[in-house]
Amino acid sequence: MPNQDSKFKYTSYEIIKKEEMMPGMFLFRLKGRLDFKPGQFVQAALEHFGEGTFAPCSDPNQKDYFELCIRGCGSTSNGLITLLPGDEMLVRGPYGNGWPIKKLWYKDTLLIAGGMGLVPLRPLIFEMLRSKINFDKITLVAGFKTDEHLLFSHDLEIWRKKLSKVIPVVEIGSKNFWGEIGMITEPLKNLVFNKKKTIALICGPEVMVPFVNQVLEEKGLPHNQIYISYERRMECGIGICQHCNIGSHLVCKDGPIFRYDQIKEEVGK
Amino acid sequence: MKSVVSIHQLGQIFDFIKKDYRVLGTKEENGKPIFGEISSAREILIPTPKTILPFKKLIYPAILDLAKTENGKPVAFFGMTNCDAEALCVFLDKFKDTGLVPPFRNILVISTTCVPDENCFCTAFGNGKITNFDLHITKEKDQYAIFSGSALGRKILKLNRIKVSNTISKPTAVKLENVRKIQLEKLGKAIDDKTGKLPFWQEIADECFGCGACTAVCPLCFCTGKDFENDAEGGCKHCLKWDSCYAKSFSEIQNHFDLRPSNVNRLYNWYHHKFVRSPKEDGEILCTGCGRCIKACPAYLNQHRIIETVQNYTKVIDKSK
Ligand code: SF4
Ligand code: SF4
Ligand code: FES
Repeated sequence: MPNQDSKFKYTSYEIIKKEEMMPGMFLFRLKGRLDFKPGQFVQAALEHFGEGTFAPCSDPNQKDYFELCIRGCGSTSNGLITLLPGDEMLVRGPYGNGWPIKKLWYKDTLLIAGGMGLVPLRPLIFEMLRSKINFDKITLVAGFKTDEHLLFSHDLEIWRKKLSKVIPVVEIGSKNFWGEIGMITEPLKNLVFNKKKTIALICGPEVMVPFVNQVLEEKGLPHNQIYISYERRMECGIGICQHCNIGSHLVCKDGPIFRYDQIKEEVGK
Repeated sequence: MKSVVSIHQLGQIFDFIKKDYRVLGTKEENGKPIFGEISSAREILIPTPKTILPFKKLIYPAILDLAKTENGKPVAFFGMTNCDAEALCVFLDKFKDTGLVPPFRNILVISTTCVPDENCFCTAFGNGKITNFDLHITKEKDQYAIFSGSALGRKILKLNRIKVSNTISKPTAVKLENVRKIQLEKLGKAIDDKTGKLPFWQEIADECFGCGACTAVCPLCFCTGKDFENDAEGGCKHCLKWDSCYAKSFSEIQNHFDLRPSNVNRLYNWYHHKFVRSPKEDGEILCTGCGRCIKACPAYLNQHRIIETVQNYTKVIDKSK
């Protein structure tokens, strides 16, 4: 185990709750305080296998525990999801910049999540609801594959009453589904927002982002009012391994959240 | 300041340093110059030829056990070319806050005159002046001229009762023929702006095997990966291992989504990191012009010609070596 003064030092947290959110995807509740900002990430390790990058998704003000949402999709994450309450999980971090909360003060916020992209937005929503007075309209558009793939459906039901608007969108959905059916871009196209005071925050698969940006652009939202959270391969999290760059920026240090006008030329370099 | 010493005095200085430092330097092994542990002044090659592998694996091993607290004994590099001394400074600076490499104060640099070869191009980036040393040694017939470049260097000479002349004198700068200046700002801009240059990068990528040899030999390539070393008894060590940005999965994320799916993406990233990202991040390019990558490339690509060409991109690639 890395020594305690190492930059790679881990804290071992006891798993106190594990909930299957959908097949192969689990919400782990870890005992102890993690001092993080919404949008930051941690590295969770499974000894002998490897490490994965996850965004804490619980309320950042929660002092007794924090939550990680882990989907089994590689050897490490598939190993991590076999852990059970009572087991320990090794976590280091948090790393990265987090969502620009103060920039959202007295603005309208448009949160756009694709699939697991809702994970790093969830703590932000908790945080915004806590000091709602500082924020004007909050709209959430969250896209999923089917209505059975709805993440945090319980939260969505609650947020529906507390936020200005919550629109879940699914590609395939049953008749009595309360959200919309189609691509995530559809409800965005129909959305009316004040382009002068709206800030959009996007988190989702890389392939989704250009489509979303195109709609926002067509609706006249300036690029400096769009923030995007990027997923890159993280090995170190502290700016030395060079795996995570987007052009001239390191996602682990300068990101993972970038203002679109500052990153658009760099993506793909 | 310059002093002239005999081989015996040099030996004395070496033994003096050896007491407090782990000494690493350029020596010959199986007919080839290598960087390694030095136990006697006799082993050090002066003038100093270029080693195939740089110093990096000596201070930052191939597998770095994160449980070990580093920095036992201070390290002296005794017998190191000017370009490697420069690379060492950049390297240590890059890792200075990580605790993974010895801190500056625990490093002593005794550089030596180099033996340039046909691939060297350090003067393209500067004036060839010898800098970055505590002591610098050149051979003068049967004797050695020693220059001190720091207070520590002067102290070492003084403690060894070496007379230091009062006339200011500096080591002779490296001179390379047929090496033209590269304008770093222009080069950075030319690499950063990809417009219209896709065929250029593609043409190089078509030749490149993506083997990563260039990254292994480069003193200023330091991509690493986090890994675990498992042993038969069920133990597991947390490690950092050298990696190469030319490796296929280097930028792969979940579900095998590769952000740099083809070699041209990875190759471009190598040049971009060295000449665009790093200057923006740390104010330093990640190349000293040592030419190791040129020598190592099995595809006969010439990185020096490539940056010269991209700087004045004219759609023609000069592949001559
Ligand atoms: S890029 Fe090539 S020439 Fe430059 S420092 Fe690395 S190995 Fe030497
Ligand atoms: S050594 Fe040559 S062939 Fe191998 S990755 Fe480097 S440029 Fe490509
Ligand atoms: S994760 Fe290692 S440099 Fe960003």
